[in-house]
Amino acid sequence: MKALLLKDVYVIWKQMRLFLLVVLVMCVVNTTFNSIFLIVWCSMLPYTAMAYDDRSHWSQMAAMMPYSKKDIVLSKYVLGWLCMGAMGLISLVMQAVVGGFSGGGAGRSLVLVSLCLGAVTLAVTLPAILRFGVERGRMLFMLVIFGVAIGAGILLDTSDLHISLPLPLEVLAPLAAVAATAVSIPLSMKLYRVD
Amino acid sequence: MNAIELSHIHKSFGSFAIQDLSLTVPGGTICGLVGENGAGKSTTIRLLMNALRPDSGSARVLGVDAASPEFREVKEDVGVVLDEAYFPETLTAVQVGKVMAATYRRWEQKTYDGFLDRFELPRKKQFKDFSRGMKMKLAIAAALSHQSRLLVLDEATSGLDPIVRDEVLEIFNEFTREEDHSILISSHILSDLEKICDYIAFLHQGRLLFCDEKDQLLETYGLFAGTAEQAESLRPEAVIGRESSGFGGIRALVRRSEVPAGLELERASVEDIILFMVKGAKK
Repeated sequence: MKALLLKDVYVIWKQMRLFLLVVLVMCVVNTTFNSIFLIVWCSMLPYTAMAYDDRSHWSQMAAMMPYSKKDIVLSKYVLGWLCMGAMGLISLVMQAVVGGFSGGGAGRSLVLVSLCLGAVTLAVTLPAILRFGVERGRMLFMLVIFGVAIGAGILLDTSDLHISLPLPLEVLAPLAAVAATAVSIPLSMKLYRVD
Repeated sequence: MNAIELSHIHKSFGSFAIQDLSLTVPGGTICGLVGENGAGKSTTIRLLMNALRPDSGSARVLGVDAASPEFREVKEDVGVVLDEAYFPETLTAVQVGKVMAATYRRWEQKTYDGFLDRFELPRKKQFKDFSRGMKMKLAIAAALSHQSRLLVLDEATSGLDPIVRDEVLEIFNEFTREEDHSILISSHILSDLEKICDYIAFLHQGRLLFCDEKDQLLETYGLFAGTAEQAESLRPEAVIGRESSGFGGIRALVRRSEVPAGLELERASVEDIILFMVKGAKK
């Protein structure tokens, strides 16, 4: 799996440099929406790598190499998690630097919820994209990412909303992320096919 | 030990099917896989490497069933170059080397660097800016740098200029000097195959028409060139295929054993044999 992650990092690195610049600007203009959007957006980076893979028919080559199907599928999840984790860290550091939150508790909780939303987004979209390819799966992805980011942003930004949740969001979000991922990975394994 | 054993493989794609494909490549030999576009060469390679599951039949590579979990280990020993699948386009040759080093346990960086120098491949240029020939050279360099015992090459010499092609063929020949090293190579350049192969396998519309030793093929068939009347006097079972050579003349591929002993025949090349067989099959 290390080889596949290394390949993906090389592939997306050029785009990540531009992305990091956007991140820095957005983090300075600190809003709840920005934090959530940036982290959830990071869950899209595996799809950038997959778009390059599709173009070069990499999956056909990978099928000839000593990678297991499990390695190929899991590497996409791991890449998404790593990118989101890095973004979460950057987000926390930037918020601390620009004094975007006091005491740190609220910021950490926002990042945690955002990471979970990103993991859910990845879990929902990846099986379809592994099956149909990035081109055909992109529309689904865009719908999900905007739906999740805007919905969550509204939910967290509007202090007037008093929605009664059975558990605190900081507990509910990780549970949802774990549950979605637990369903998503076996589904992806089943749906993945070489083009 | 046989390097490759395909046994009664069937694989259907609706309008096209690989039918009852049985093919054996003995260890230490080079087998050329020949066929028209769409004959099933690339599909055969994918079936062989378990990238496609057959509807029925079995494939064994280096003694291991391709459908078994142990086959992943065997892939460490197989170097593959594909015709239309490449490394992602933003990668450089150096990055390809690093990815391959993390992929293959027996990766030899020195060997890889040696091939990059030998093929004069730029180390920092992105793969998308490579010519087709350079892409094939990079894929060959990677396939030869992890102590493979079997090379599976799909149109690996296409896009290379004649001088480099000759050099690459010599590298393939060197590779099989180790007695347990084998190659399965598909190519449209039949003269290349004639130069290096011990066996020639001919696929036509998803069926294997023959897999024979090259020398035996060349001994079995000859080229008849004569008048139409002379051609008519040949026994029908002697003639594999025929064509008009202009000015009323006829050229025909014939079985040497089926024509009169005194009849003078030209030497048939592998290309002649394949072309006449395709024409014969179409009739």
